[in-house]
Amino acid sequence: MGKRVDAELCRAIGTVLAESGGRALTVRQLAIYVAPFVRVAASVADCQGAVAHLERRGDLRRLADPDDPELLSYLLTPAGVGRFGV
Amino acid sequence: MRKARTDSPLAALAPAQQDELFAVLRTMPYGRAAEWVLEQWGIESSPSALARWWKRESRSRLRAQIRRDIDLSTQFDTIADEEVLDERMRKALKDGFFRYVAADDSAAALEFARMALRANHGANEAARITHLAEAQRLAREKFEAAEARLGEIKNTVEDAQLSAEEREARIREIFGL
Repeated sequence: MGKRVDAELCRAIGTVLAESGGRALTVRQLAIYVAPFVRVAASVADCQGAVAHLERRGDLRRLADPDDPELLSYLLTPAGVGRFGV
Repeated sequence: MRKARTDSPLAALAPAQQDELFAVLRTMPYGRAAEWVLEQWGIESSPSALARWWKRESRSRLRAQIRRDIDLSTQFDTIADEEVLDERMRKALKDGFFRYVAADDSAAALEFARMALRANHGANEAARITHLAEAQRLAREKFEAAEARLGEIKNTVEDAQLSAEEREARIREIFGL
């Protein structure tokens, strides 16, 4: 069984993406953002776990930069927008 | 999310107290935090009330911060779009600026933006000069072509061996008609 994903962390990531006005964000940027607003660990690795969970659930979509395919960023899907609201 | 109760003592906290409680709740368990609130401010609370307060407060603070940062970044993006010619450079500048803003280091973000745009200004100036030189070259070519056409027309008009029809046909040919 995988590591438990914290609901508070997922909610915070969803809030950031919902408010980001369509700007794709990297996991590192998400980690920087949410860290001061959650009571749980929010390292880049923790956020990676939460992002993977949200991606599996269909709440967010991974994008690759055409100039740098290694650099991945994330946007909310319509399902994610519905869940996290704006 | 449950609606916030306006009669809750936590709703009446002063802004400085809200900041302090927010910092305390980041690390302290809700039960201990309830005791802390009672000791510090004489306010009766409960772990569940504090949990609700935290949830609501963290969400609204996070929203406010990201909205402010996106707004700042969007302003910078507009400047970068106008000032920077190279697409990859523009993207790198936008990402860099956003990273500083997201890290809440506005002084570093402004310094970064200033430096980046100053460096870009030099590149822009070089591109502008190249562009001007190219425009001048094209204008000169056009002028020279016009001069050559005029010379040919003059020769055609002065050529006594040509009939009126031949002269007209030649002039039409020179103008590409």
